[in-house]
Amino acid sequence: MSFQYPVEIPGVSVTNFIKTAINETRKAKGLKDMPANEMLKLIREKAEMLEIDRKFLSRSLNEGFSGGEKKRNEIFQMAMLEPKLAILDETDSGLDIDALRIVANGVNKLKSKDNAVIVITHYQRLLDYIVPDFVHVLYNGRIVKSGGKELAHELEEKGYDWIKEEVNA
Amino acid sequence: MLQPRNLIVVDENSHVQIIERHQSLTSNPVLTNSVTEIHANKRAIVDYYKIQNDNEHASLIDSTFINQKRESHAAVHTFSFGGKLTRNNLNFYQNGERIDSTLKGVTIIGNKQHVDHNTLVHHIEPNCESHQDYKGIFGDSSTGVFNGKVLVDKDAQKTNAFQANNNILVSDKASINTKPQLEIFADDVKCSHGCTIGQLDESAMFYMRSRGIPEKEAKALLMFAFSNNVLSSVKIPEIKQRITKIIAHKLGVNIGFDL
Repeated sequence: MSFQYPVEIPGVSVTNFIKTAINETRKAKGLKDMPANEMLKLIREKAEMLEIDRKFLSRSLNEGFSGGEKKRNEIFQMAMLEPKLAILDETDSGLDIDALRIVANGVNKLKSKDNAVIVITHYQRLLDYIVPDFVHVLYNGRIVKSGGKELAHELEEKGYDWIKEEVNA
Repeated sequence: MLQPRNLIVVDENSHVQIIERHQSLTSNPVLTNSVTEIHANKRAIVDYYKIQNDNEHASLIDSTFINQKRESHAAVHTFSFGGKLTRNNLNFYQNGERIDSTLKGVTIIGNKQHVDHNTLVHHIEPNCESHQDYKGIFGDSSTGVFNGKVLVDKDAQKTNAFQANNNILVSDKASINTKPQLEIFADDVKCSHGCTIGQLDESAMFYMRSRGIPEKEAKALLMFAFSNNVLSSVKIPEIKQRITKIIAHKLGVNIGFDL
């Protein structure tokens, strides 16, 4: 799950945090801790993919991070932990155009047939980069309309009013 | 009952690192009443570490007096994890100019343990500094006291004195009494103090748990992060490792905090 506003945790470095998270999830699956050299290699690989600076990894988690850095860090964690289901809550908020491209590329690279990603957004812009398989419209706590990526385009043009009318009718 | 008496004289320009540890080998109740006197002469550097991790039948009264001459640096780190009752009286006297004194401590206790920190820094001459940073984590029905006194004499102009005492209460029955006490008679000084008492950050806990870190480990990580400020100024890497191990053991987790 990627938060819209990730929490700042002073004193816990990004590397330390991710290391603990990985080893704990491995423990839950009955696996042994990941060897340190393998861990470092994996961290370096994923950081490169998301164009994350090495210095960034030794900083305290989210403390003093800019909006883009926080979001990139969220995707970095997703890359490291490889969850079966990821929920990205308005990952595009507070991102400039370049950061948006990097984050979206990251998500695309992580997509496989074995996992699922739910992206929550208000804008088509993010969906230009991350092309969705399905689009659902949530209204009053329910999914009121589902469709393919065309639905998102339609929404971008017409707004939500026509769906509201359809629901209320 | 034991009454050790230590006298340490650090001569001009010398540098000494000392580790002090009390350990009882049986579970019989024991009281140690220890007095340590340190004289740091001109430009001496004193690095003193107290590791208090005795079993819960042992009590300790520790009084340390440090007399500093000009341009000397003295630092005392106190790590209190064990013992039934621990009382630390730590007194610094700055007899000279450009002296630097550091007093730091981490306290992590539970059950019915009690740890008491009583510090005094006496600024007598101008252009000196003192830094105090004490962190405490209190669980179960444990109690803690921090009483930090900073005395700045009339002649001790341009003094820089800092004091911080931050505490986390992990249980409803734990308590901490903290009292900064600043007596300043000079008019051109910078003295700051601050104390906080709080709980672990719930949103940080939720964030970590959403990443698959179990509650206990998440707590441990947060507590460790909390005490990290003090640990980072420990100059002997082996001590740092040992302390992190004790902390992990104390919190009942098996995770490395290094990197």
